[in-house]
Amino acid sequence: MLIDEPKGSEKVPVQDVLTRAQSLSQAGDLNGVIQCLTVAERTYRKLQDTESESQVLISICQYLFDAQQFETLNEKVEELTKVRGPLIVALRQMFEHCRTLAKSMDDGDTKGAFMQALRKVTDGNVEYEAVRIDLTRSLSKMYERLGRGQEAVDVLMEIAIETAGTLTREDRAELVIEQMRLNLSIDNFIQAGIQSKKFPLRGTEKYYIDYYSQLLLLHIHERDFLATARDFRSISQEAERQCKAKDKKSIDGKDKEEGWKDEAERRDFINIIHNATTSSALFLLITPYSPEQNGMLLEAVADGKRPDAPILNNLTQSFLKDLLISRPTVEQVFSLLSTECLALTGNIRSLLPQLVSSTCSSVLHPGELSQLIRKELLDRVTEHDLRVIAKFYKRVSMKRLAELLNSTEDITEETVSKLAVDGQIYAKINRPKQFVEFVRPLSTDEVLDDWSNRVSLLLSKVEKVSQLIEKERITCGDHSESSHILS
Amino acid sequence: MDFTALLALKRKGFWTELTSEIEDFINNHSGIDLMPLYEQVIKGSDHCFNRLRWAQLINSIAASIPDPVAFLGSIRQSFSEVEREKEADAFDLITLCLAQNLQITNQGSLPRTEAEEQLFAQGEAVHLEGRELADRLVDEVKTRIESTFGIANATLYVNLNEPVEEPVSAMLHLVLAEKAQLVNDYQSFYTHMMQYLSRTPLAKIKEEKKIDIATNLCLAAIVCPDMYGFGELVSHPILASLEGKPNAWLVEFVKIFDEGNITQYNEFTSKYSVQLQSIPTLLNALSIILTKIRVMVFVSYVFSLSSNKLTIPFATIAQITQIPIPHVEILVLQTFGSKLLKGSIDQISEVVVIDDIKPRQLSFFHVESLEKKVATWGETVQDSLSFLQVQIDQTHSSLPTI
Repeated sequence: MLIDEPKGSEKVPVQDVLTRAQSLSQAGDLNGVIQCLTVAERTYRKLQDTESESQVLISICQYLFDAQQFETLNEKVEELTKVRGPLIVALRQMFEHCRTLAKSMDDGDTKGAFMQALRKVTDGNVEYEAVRIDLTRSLSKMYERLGRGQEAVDVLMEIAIETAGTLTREDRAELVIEQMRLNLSIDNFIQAGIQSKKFPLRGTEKYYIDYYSQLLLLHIHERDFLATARDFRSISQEAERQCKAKDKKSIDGKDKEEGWKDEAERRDFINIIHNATTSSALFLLITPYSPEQNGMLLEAVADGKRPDAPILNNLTQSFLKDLLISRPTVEQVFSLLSTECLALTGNIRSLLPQLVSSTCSSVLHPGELSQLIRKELLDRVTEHDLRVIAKFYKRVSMKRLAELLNSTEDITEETVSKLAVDGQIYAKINRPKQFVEFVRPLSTDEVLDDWSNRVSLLLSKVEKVSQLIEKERITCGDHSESSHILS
Repeated sequence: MDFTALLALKRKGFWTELTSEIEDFINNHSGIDLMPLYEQVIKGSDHCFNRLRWAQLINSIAASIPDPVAFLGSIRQSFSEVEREKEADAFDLITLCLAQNLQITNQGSLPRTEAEEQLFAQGEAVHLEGRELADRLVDEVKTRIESTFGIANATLYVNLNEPVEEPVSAMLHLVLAEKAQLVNDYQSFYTHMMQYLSRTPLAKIKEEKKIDIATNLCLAAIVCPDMYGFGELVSHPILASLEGKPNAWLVEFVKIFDEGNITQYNEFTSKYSVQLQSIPTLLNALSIILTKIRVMVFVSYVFSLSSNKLTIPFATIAQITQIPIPHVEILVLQTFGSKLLKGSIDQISEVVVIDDIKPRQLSFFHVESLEKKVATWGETVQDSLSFLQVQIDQTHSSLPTI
C-alpha cells in the first residue's frame, strides 16, 4: 500500500491518512492505527510538512487517549519527541493538544503521571516553555486540590521565574503570587519571602491586591507590623484606584462590561477598601514608635478621606497628641473598636476575599492574633503615656509612675528601661530612693550655650521693643524725648 | 412691585447706579419672592453688570425664592467655559451659594446641559445628591482659591493671578463652617466662622443671622476640646448682638472661661442651670467643659503670677482649681499637652515649674491685669532707681573732693 511503503518524496494528502486511520480504528485495530500514523509522521517529517505533521501527531495522541492507553501514550509522546530532525512547531501543537487533553482528565495519579511525562519531554527547550509552565501550574493546582500541599509546592517551585524569558510581566506576577500562596499554605515562610522579592512591581498594578494580601501574611508572621500596615495601605490605595476606574467606566457607557456588574460587587469593593484602611491604621498603631511610623500616622490623619470609623480615628489622633491616653480607656473601647475594625478580632481571613481560602495556619489563628494585637496596642499606649510623662515631668516616684501608667512597679521599671535604651526618652532610675529622673543633666558647655542663647534672645527682644516704641513715638508726633531714648 | 425707576436706569445704561439701586431695593423688600426682579430687570443683560456684584445680587435673590437650587443651577450653567476662567470670582460665588443651599436641603441635583453632558461623559458623576455634590463643588472652589493663595504656588503665581475677592473667600468659609456645623465638627466650625467674620463687615450680616452665629460660636468655643483661645471670641464685636437677647447668658459664660474664675463658674452654673440643661450640646460635653474651665483657671492663675513666682506647689493648684491633689498632675499634663504652658513637674517635691505661657489674644480683663503688672514693675523700677540715686549720692559725697 501507498501508506505502508512511502516512495521517496511522494506526498500523500494528510486527509487520506486520517481517513484510513479512522477506518482502522473503527475496526478496533489500535496498533494498526498507530503504526499507520507513525509511518505517515515520518514521511511528513522528512518532507518538512509542518501542517500535516502536526495533524498526524495530534491524532496519534488522540487515538491513544481515547483508548485510555495512558502508559503507551506517555511512551509514544516521549518517542515522538526524541526523533531525528523534529518539527518544533508541529511538536508544540501536539503538546498544546496534550495539555488540553490532560486538563480534561479527572484528578488522580494517572493525570499526574501524564502531566509529569509531558513536563519531562518539554523540559529544556525555550519553544515549549509556555506549555511547560502552564502544565506545571495545572499540575500543582491538581495536587493542591488533592490535598498534597508539599508536592504542589515542589512542582511549582521548579519554575525559575528569573530565567523564564517567554513570560510576560503579568504571567510572572501571577506566578509569584501563586508560589507565595502555596509556600505560605505549608508555612514555608522563608521560601515565600524569597519569592516575594521576585515580584515585578512596575506595570503590574492590577495584581497588587493579590500580591500584598499574600505578603501581609508573611509580615504578620514576622511580627513586622509597620510592613503589614504598609501592605494594607497599598491594598487600599490600589482598590481605591480600581474602584474609581470602574466607577468611571460604569458611568461612561463605553466599556460597560469593565464597569460594575451589579451594586453588590461595588459594595464588596468598598468593603475591601474599608477593611484595608482600618487594618492599616490598626497595624500602624501597634507598630513600635519610630519616626517613620509617626510620619505614616500623621499622613493617615492628614489624609482626610478616612473611613467611617470614628473610634479608631480618635485613637489615632490621641496617639499624636501629648496627652495621656491611659490603658483603661483603650480597654473600654475594645469591643466597639472590633466592630469598626475587623482586624482586631484577629480574623484576617474575613478581611479580604483573597485570603478567605488561605490555609496559612500559624498566622491566621484568630484567637492568638487577636490577643497579640490587643497586647501590643496596650503596650503602645503605655509607651506613649510614658513618652508624654518623660516630656513634662522632671522627677516622679516609681509608685506614682506605676499609678499613672496603670501597671505594676516592676513592669513600669522594665518599660522605662526599654524606652531609655531605645533612646526614645532620657531616664535615670534612682532605685534606693525609688524615683525616676527624666531631665538630662546639662554639661557645662550646654549650660553656657543655653545662657548665651537666652541673653541674645533677650537682647533682640529689647531691640525690637525699643524700635517699636520709637516708631510709636514718631507716628504719634511726640519728638520731645526721642533723643533720650536713642541715647 | 414697581420697577419703573430701575428700568429707566437700565434703559439709560447706568449700570453702576442700577446695581446700587437694586441692592437698595433688595434690602427694602426682604421676605418677598424677588424672582420678578430678576426676570424683568436683570435677565438678558447679565453681562453688563460688574460680575461680582451681579453674583451677589443673584445670591440675594436666590435667598428669597422657594427653589434656589434649580435657579442657581441654571445660572451656574449659563457660564461658558471662557467665562468660568475669566469671571472666576463671580462663578465661584454662585457655585458656593449653590453648594450652601445644596448642603442645607441635602436634596436636588443639577439639570444637565450640553456642557454637563460632556463632563458626564468624561466620567464625572454630575447627578449626585445634595451634600455629596455640595462637597465636590466646594472642593473645586477651594482648590482654585488655594492655588491662588497657596504657599506651594506663592512663588510661581505672584502677580500672575488676580487675588480672590473678599466676598468669595468669605463665602467659602461660611459654606465650610455650615458644613462643619452639619456634622458637629466644632473645631472647624469655629475656625471657619471666625475667618468668615474677619472677611465680612458686620453691618452686612442680618440681625437674626448674627444672633445665630454668635450663639453657635459661643457653644463651639465652650464645647470644643482643643480650643482655648477665648480672648479672641470675647473681644469680638459679634457678641454684642446677643445683648438683651435670651441667649445673652452665653456671653457671660464665655467671659467666665476667658477670665478663668472657678467661683464665678460655680455660681453661674447653679444660677443658669435651667438654661444649661436646655442645650443638649452642653449637656453632652459636661466633662470637657469642666476640664476646660479648670485648665483656664490654671492658665489665668499662671498669667497673673509675677515672673519670680513661677514655681507652684501642687497644693496651690488644687486649691485654685478646686480639685483633689492627686488630680493636679493630670490637669497640669493636660495643660502642658495642649501646649498652653511649658514647664516641668517635679512630683518628688510636689511642685510645677512654669517656663513659658503660650501667646494668645488678651481680652480686656487680662489687659487690665497686665496693666497692673506693668504698674508694679514700674514701681519696682522706680524704687531701684531711687535706691540707686541714694547710693550714688552717698558715694558721691563720700568721695574725697579734689
